[in-house]
Amino acid sequence: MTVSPADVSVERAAPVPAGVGGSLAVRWGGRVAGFVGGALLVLWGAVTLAFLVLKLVPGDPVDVMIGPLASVTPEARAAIRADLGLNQPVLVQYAAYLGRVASGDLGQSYQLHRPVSAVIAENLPHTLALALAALGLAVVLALVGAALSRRGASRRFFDLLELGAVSAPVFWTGLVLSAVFSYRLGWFPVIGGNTVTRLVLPAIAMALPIAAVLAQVLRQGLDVAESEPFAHTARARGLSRRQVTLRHSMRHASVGTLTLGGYMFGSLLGGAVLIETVFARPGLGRVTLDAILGRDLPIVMGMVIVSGIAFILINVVVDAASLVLDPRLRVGRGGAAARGARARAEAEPAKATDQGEGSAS
Amino acid sequence: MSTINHPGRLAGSLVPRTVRAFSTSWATRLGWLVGALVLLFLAVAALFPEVIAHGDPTATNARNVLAAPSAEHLFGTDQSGRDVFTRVVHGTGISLGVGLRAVGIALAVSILIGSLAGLAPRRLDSVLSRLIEVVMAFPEFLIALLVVAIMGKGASAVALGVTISVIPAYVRLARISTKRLRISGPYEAALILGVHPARAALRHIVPSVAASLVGLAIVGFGSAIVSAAGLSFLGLGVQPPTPEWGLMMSEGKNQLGNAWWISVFPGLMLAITVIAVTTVARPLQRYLEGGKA
Amino acid sequence: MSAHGSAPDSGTQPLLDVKGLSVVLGGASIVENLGFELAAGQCMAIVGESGAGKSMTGRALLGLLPERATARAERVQLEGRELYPAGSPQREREWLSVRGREIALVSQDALVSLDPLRSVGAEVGEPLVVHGLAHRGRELNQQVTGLMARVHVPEPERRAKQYPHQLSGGLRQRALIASGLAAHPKVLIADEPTTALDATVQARILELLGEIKEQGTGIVLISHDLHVVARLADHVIVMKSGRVVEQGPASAVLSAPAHPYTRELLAAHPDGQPLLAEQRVMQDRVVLRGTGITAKFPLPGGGSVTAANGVDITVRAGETVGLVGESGSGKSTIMRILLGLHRPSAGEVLFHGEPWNSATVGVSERSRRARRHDIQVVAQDAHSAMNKRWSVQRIIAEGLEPSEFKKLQLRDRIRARKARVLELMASVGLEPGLTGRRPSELSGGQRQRVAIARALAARPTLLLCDEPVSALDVTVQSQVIGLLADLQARTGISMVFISHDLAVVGQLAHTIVVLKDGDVVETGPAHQVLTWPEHEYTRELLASSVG
Repeated sequence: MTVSPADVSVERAAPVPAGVGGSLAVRWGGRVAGFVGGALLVLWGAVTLAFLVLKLVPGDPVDVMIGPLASVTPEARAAIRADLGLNQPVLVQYAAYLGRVASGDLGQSYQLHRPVSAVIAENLPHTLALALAALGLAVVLALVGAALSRRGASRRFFDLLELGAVSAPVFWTGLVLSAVFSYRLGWFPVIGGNTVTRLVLPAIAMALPIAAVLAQVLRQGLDVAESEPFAHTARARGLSRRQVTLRHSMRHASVGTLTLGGYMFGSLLGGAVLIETVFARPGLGRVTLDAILGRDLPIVMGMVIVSGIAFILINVVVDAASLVLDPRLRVGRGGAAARGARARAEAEPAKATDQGEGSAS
Repeated sequence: MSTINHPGRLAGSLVPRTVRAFSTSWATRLGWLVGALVLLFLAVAALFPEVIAHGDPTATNARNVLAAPSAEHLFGTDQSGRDVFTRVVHGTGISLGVGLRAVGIALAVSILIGSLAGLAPRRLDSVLSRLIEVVMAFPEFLIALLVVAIMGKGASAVALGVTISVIPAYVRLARISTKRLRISGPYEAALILGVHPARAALRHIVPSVAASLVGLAIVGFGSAIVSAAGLSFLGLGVQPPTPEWGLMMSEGKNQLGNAWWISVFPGLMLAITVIAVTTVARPLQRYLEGGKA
Repeated sequence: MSAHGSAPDSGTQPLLDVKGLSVVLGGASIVENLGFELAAGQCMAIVGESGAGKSMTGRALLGLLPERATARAERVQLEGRELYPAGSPQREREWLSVRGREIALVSQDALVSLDPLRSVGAEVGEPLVVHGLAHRGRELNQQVTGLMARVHVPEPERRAKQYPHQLSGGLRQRALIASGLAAHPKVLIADEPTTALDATVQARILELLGEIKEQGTGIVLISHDLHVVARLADHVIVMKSGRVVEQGPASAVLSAPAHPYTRELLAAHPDGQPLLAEQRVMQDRVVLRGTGITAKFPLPGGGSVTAANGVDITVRAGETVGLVGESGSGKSTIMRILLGLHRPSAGEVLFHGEPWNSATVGVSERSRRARRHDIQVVAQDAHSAMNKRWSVQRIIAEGLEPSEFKKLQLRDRIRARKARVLELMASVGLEPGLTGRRPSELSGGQRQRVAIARALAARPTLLLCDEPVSALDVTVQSQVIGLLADLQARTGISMVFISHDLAVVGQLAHTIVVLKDGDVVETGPAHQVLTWPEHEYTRELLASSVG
């Protein structure tokens, strides 16, 4: 039996923590401050990572950017050099870069000859539409899958189905879908078509593995919630199994699933690179891939920053939704961001150890 | 990202209930056996590909291009008349090699850093954990892409990228498990008995942390090979005519309408590999974590 | 509320009539041939230790058995209506209208028995909604407020809007009872309703249940605790391993038990009678002295919590000091400070006259490590303090002093260590055959004995016992307490015994320190504190403990 400071304060604070946690305003203030701090840290990390990309590229970045084939006058070279600030000390370059990013300037694409922010703004809607469609579909599939297969043979069947969906590489699923539904059956156009028909297959391909994971986590959450004493109490009040699921355990299961869903939504950006290639769709993934192939470093750096911002925004949504779902998180101790990050950090692989260690403290 | 390499990263969330579901039935044992046999087959294919497929994976045959699967060409032939089955078998080694290397290195690094962070003074630990948190903000696949962007495309860049991309998750897990064990139970009991902290950690913490990491790593192996194949699929890894699964899928992409087999079979092998590894790893992981076999 | 009143003519038809109830779980018989009649306004208590089948009985009466279990009964009739037609439980759909409406459940530990994500009011009102007795909205809110007022929850409107984690344990338990009463059930099954609560809170909850009984509800009280039963029950059933060993009016069973097991249960209950001889305490040899121990924990939101506030404690050679307090009184923090695991914010601890843990002087862990073997602990949760991969032999051997065996050859050393482990096991009453077992393969009592053996292996002069028996069944409790008393008599070891239960402490302690919210409210010789408690709080503890 071990008692950490946190345990003690929980013990003491249980009967309405009057005057312990400070005033409401102070508590919320602290929480917001904690969150903003966390967000700034991630943002700083993104910018630094972007800068590292530039610095770690072996050789002269100007050569890398221009490419070996292009013949460029020494003046143009010098101009690029000056533009990137490459003739200054590294720390000065870093500070200058931070300053420029802070003022919203992500630089110029050397291949597209346009501002990076404009390129990103133009392609963002395509990827966002794809990611949202995939996530929405995944949530629906996961809810249906989890609800239909709580026990018995159907559960084993879904287990197998989900294992397959999780294991199949998303770009392969995309190829198979397009071979069957576009080439063989002709339901969806290979090229052309309107925005909706072009969205269906890529969204399905992206949604399947997410749906499988969400369904597993959701079902696991339902199982855990329904093995808790409160579920037993609820049934003793006269609720049927289904009512217990709908009124009680679904909410419990959603908390963990939500965190995971947010995480997966963020990671869709990576998956977009593959799926947009498979389906020849425009979007941030394609832009990133072209930039890497063409060594267009400003675009790559811009994408790193976009990814950091996406992470922050998703966290806001997930944290807010978690607060709505779980009143226990509303207690004012610790910043919500920190708490959310911790919860997220420990949400998934940590469970593997849960299994082994049981509930220790 | 998730979509391409989440099996490893999310394996943790899949494991507990699946283990429960998998624990009792005969179907489990049968599934495990099948998975183990598949892995054995893959190992043979990786080490001695010519035992399974005699031909040359790069031998072209202009008179027999895009042949459908048949008894002679089990998986058909591609646009250069190369036998897809032979190429798939010969590609096994590359994928498994990348996966093994990535997981091996990630494991070594994470056990070291993670355990240190878990046992280090609070300030150092908080800096390290903050750093991990920031790195974790970026999707794994993006990290792998960045490494390729920095190093330029090629097989070694892909291998390194995949390795680096999986490290943060493992480090974090190692740190969390160390923390968790540190605040409870046997470790503290040993300290009270007067055992030196290092020795107590070695006895009570390291085995458990290593066990859970090994369990996760076995599953994470699948994620690494899928990531690597994805990068090759994008044309960032090995170059033609190397028989690599991701590259083969990319080569067959434009023939989907008339020769689906070029893309589908390599991907199927990839999926089967991941499923087999997962099926075999789950009970093993449970065993290593101190439960019953 | 009391639609029934305590009907004097309850002889005609019992409220609940159970005959020949049996439950089988995976081939094993969990409940065998249980039968009783319960009248309105009466309380039927089912008593037994863990594994007796008492909770399964409660679940069988609600038709809520685990999936692998099957129940049979000659009859289970509620006001003449058969719940087990043809000997088996009725169909699930029929149960739905019984649960909560006719027979309701109040279980232990409301923190986990109330849905933590829903407001207390929503939980209390749920039976009304489910059984269509109230529509959502003002009507429901009023009824919920009324229910919470009925179970004496202060400020019911405000409390109804709060969440379970915002309520104290006692209020939560009241809310849970309110929820059980919501749909005016005729029978209330109370399954260990006070087990997780502090003694003083426990007493008040029992008063409330008594009130409910007065108002005409029939109560089936399931408990391991004879105190609880004695206060409430009109009839008692004593169960052991699924069998009824004794059954009858409470007064008869409790005052003149017929079955040896009942007598054992009664005798096992701590009555505060000391088991210790006084003369062994050496007044002039102080083993451990803590002065002004203070522990403050900063809260992340600012401010701090004081878990210990200037606590003085002195332990002499051969003495047992009992540290008594309810949850949150700071006793566990003090123990961690005495163990040198947590540095106090103020004050210091001297061990054998030398600095051991101090707020001002830094005591290095290195210097402490050499002396650590001398001060050992037996914790409440022995299981989590053991490496679950290790065998009993290895666990106990970890405590052995390496220096003790240094001079021996390797082979002799192994043999000597084995012999010493067996000797230790014998001294705590463990059979030698258990050496190869893992912790999970032991019973709770055996694990606690292993923990004691491991602690003794280091040959300490001071043993800290932190709630060492509170997770155990009463008969096992008394055995472990007896073992500790015996150990002290044999070896003259000093002890600090921490417990929430004054009666348990009274059996072992020479000196008692009573803690409340981090402050020492009373300290003195055990017999004095137990017979003439000076502080109001001690009196309250004493009343609720010995009852």
